[in-house]
Amino acid sequence: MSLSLRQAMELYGNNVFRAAFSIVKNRQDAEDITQDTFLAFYRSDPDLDSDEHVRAWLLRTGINKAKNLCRTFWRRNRENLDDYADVMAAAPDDESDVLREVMKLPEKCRVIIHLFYYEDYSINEIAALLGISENTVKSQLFRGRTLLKERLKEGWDND
Amino acid sequence: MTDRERYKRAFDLIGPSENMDIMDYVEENEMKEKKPNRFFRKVGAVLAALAVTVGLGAVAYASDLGGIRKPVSIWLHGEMTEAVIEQVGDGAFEVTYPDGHKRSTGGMVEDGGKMRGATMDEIIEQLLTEVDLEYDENGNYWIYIRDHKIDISDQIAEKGYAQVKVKDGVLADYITVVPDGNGGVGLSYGHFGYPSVESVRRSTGTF
Repeated sequence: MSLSLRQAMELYGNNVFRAAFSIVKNRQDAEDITQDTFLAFYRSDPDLDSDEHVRAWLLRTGINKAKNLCRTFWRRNRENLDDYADVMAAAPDDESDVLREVMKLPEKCRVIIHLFYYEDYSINEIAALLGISENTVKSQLFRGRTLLKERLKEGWDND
Repeated sequence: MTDRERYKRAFDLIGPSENMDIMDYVEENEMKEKKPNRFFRKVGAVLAALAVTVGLGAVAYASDLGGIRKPVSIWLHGEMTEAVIEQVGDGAFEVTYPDGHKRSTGGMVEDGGKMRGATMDEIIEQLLTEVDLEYDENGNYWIYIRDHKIDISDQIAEKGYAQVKVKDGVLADYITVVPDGNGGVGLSYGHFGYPSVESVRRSTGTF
């Protein structure tokens, strides 16, 4: 692999955590997923020829693990453990509003919005990373942005 | 400020806690990997009157039945393996698995809830009819019964429990698997219509 475990962790640990958090909405679960993702990276030792491929590999793996967790019986039947309230309480209003409304989006929208706005991936890159069609990415992105505009009003420009 | 900048500022506020240490986690799990049976968890059968055991005659491999300490062939994770059962008290037994792991067992509950000590034959019967549950790192559930390995992930996801029929002889085994949400599981043997899933949950304390 092009990066050692420590290098990959330092470069992309937070990215994997935030992508996982955007799906599971829970810090502890996101941390578990992040650690599992890097364990998988270490064990599988993927043949990746650039840092960008490492990032994509880690994000894809983390997102899949997060989705799997959300599908599990335990997760779907336990009480809501969303725990970003503490973050929002300490955040400026603008940021906490964005965070709150993003977290209310449907899961499929949320992950696509995150990859688009946080990771700066293009539509075709998101499609490749998630293994879905570009049209699905476009429609989910449109849906997410529309919902954010409706809810955040002047706090979201759809630019 | 653009939406992208707004979004990044919001998510930059979220980060892992100081407790998360990826290097430690990887190192710890790599050490665990070297130990056997990493993903397996032994699940004891429900020793209650509603647990109707079947198929004993075909797979009873116990030998030296006259002593207190007895070697017995049992199914473990789909493979036949040798264990030793030792009677350590009145109705109390200890099973030693090939890897040295020990497990205490004993006690039966009759119809109506009356409890009594188990006999050696009943413990052997229990071991031969036990089901192993595996929950792997990909979030899939598997059960092992004798040399069968069955994926029950879809049933668990869909219904919250799984019903499995295994037939490799004259008689079929009907097994209902009810996870308790805390890593444990309730099992019952018998036709799916009886006992009901609800009664398994009540009797095993699951849900």
